[in-house]
Amino acid sequence: MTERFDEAAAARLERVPSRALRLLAPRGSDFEGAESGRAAAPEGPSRQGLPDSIDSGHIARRLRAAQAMLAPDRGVIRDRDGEAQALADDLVGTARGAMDVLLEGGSRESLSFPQVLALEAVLHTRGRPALRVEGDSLEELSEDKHPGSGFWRIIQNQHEHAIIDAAASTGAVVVNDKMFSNGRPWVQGTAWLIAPDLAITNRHVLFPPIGQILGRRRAGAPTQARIKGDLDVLVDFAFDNGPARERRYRVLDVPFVSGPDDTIDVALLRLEQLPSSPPPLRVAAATLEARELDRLYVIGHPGRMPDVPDAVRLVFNEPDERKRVSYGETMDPDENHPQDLVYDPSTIGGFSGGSVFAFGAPEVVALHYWGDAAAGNRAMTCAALRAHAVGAFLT
Amino acid sequence: MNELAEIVAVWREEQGGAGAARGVRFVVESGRSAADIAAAAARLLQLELSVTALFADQPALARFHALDIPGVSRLDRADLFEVAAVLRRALDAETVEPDLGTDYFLPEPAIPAEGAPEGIDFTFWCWARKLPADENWAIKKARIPEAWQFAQDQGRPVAGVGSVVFQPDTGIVDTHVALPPGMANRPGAANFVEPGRPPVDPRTGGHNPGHGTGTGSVIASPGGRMKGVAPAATVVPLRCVESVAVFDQSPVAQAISHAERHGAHVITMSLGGVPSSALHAAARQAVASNVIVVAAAGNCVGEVVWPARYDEVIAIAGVNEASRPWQGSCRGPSVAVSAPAEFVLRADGTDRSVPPAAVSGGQGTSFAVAMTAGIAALWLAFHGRDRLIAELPGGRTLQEQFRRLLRRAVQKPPGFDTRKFGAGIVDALALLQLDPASAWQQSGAEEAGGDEHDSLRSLVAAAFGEGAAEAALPALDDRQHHAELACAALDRLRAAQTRRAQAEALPPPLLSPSLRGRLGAPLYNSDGAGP
Repeated sequence: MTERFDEAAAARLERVPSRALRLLAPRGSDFEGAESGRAAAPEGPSRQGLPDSIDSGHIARRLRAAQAMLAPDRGVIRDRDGEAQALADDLVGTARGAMDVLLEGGSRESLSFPQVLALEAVLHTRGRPALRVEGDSLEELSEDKHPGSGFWRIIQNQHEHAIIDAAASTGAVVVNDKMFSNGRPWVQGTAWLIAPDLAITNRHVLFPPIGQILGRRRAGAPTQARIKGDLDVLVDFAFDNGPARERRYRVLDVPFVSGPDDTIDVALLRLEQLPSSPPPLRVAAATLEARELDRLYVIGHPGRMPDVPDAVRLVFNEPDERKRVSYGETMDPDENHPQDLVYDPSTIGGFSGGSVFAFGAPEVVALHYWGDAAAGNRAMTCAALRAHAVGAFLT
Repeated sequence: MNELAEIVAVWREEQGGAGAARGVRFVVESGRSAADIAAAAARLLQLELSVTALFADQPALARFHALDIPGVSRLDRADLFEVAAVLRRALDAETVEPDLGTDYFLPEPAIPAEGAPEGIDFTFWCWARKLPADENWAIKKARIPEAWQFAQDQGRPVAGVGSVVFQPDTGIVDTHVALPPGMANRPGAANFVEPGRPPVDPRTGGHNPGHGTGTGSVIASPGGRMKGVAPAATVVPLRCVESVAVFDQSPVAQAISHAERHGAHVITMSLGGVPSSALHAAARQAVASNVIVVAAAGNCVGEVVWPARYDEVIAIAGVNEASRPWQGSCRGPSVAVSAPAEFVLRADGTDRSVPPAAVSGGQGTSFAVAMTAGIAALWLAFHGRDRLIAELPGGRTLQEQFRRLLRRAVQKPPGFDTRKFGAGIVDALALLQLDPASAWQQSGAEEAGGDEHDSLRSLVAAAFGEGAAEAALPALDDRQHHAELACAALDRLRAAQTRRAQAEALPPPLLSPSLRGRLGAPLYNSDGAGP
């Protein structure tokens, strides 16, 4: 294990805005805190240092909590505690191996999928919860379900009302295939209101590179689109873990969608107008410095996955498409993508189009569009959106 | 407004405007005349269109017609398949298949910046980084120099002299010094992308410019830093794709048929994608005419792609210097043998100096199949193609004979996975040393098994699970839906091997309303865990 860096390795690493390096670099290394431009605060939210037995204990505890919700084994004697601990030890060992690679100057791309996932599992123990929204409250933070996240409790208590208000105006993009009477609807992303009848999301929610495309660009007006006639697309603002409420609004058309090669991945959805729709969110007018943003949260709908990796299960338990709020911090900007806000809350597919807020700020600061467990998650800043053609729709 | 009406409305607006869309092609398989088809299609769509024979002067393939709609854009794949399905019903055709421009055959890509969003679909796992110890390892691994020497010692034609290899690809950079001079003007050379022009690769647009230059050089480079497998063979370039990452089925089908009619002894295809009735028919006819047809198993999608996946075609997977599988090679029971595919020395078509001369190591099953085509040229020259054909038992083809011998004359390193990578690694010397008649001493068990239906079913099962494959049987029984099902399966298989699979909840597959109606239920992963 390399505990110190030579200059060449440090130079290589500086090019990688690595969430893992920032949070998991060994204490006392030259690299500690360097990526964020901040010194690692002893009382800060992120426990610094390489993956260790404390992480393993947290992960095992989280796994046991998840197992307790499963149906009991019938007639099968299983050492569930032992299984949880073994899996946790394995994940931490894999994460240590991944850190070895990164600290020795290996690129992000030299990591295997299991290594990336193991890093995600450990990062979660350093306090990156994805909390369920329960109508007009948030899931309570608990050491069992959200290990290492206790420090968020005070912040959450201070800002819970604002978070709930933001979540009420952020909804799931729900798709129903009219061809199948027996098909279940699915969530293809997240959208949030910018006007009473207008929601903003990502282009790739409507036009994913793989899978069901929801719209058809209009001839002569390629930045506009129709929703395909064989699909029903709705935005459901109450798809959460609270009591059932009717907050589903049909998408009528797409008044703006960025071009296929546009680096701004954005689309607007015009919604049917019904009484009692949630209020629109305010869109930030200017870019805030990463230091001003500091801690933030993103609201989204974690999509179902054919096979849920253990590390994703650790964070999200079962990604069941229902609304979550993920807490985290900003990371250093990516010089190659200056329009991006880079941050580290836990997100997976389905968060695309989610709203990003700084704690204590009343305005959306960015539109989430991409997640990467090792290199950081990304959103397009509202300033970048305002500077784009879509800015004409933003008040 | 129904789906067809919406799509046609978009196209009508495009045709009425000043747009420069390239147009859309459907291949109609029908016994009706071109004029009949054109009249019926125009009545249905109310669009400017034309219908011509897909294969000129080919009575056996006269049932395939090209229906071209100029000045319209491709929209998305589901829309194209929906129009195809509606046309098929209206024309009462056997099949109507759109050209798709699929990208299931990945060429070597530019590597995105670390952590960059565009990296989500990049197949980092697929491309090797470690250079071989010996840059000339590939022809040594396949024992090409020994084969040349053996032919010379036996007093037989050496280095493929007299053999004619047609090469449907991107065309060539005909000034590259690592290619034989004058290739683009050889008899039979043709261009199906810009008809009437020579098959010169302009190296503009698309991915991997100069692809055909690289594969052509592997077959017949005359010497210098690199030497082709069969430098005395005649390689005839056919430009039928702009990029191997944009695979349109009908020009490839036309190129195969053209090659057969213009005297090809071998057809080599370093490209691939989805099944196509026209392409399959053209390949069958070529094989029946005793042309050896080889194709690349494919890159980075796991399962073997078409046309390599067709039983009639010899599918070639890839290995590296250590005789291990090339990490990006597609694999499966349809693979006949493997050949070098990792940093194979080839003419670098991206070199824009004058004259271009760069040579470098290329990756992909493109090069494995080019090497195998060169070996086929050596074999035909060594034994004499006419003699081989004259001695074929009744009902047998040269393709069958070559496949059997090729599979027998392999190197089989310890632990070589013959279920996925074929019988072994090609061995040119051993092949020449085999008595051609010994091919018929084997039973038929070595032949690739299963028909197109079974092959597609296994692909769907690999992508979505056995349960989903069973549920898809109603669609599998109808050739009209084969290409679309293959697209859905290949999408899923490729995504499963990218970071997208970890980062994204994949939506349900993109399928046309007609196919969804035929399926009767969503094409879920059969574990039921998600769309």
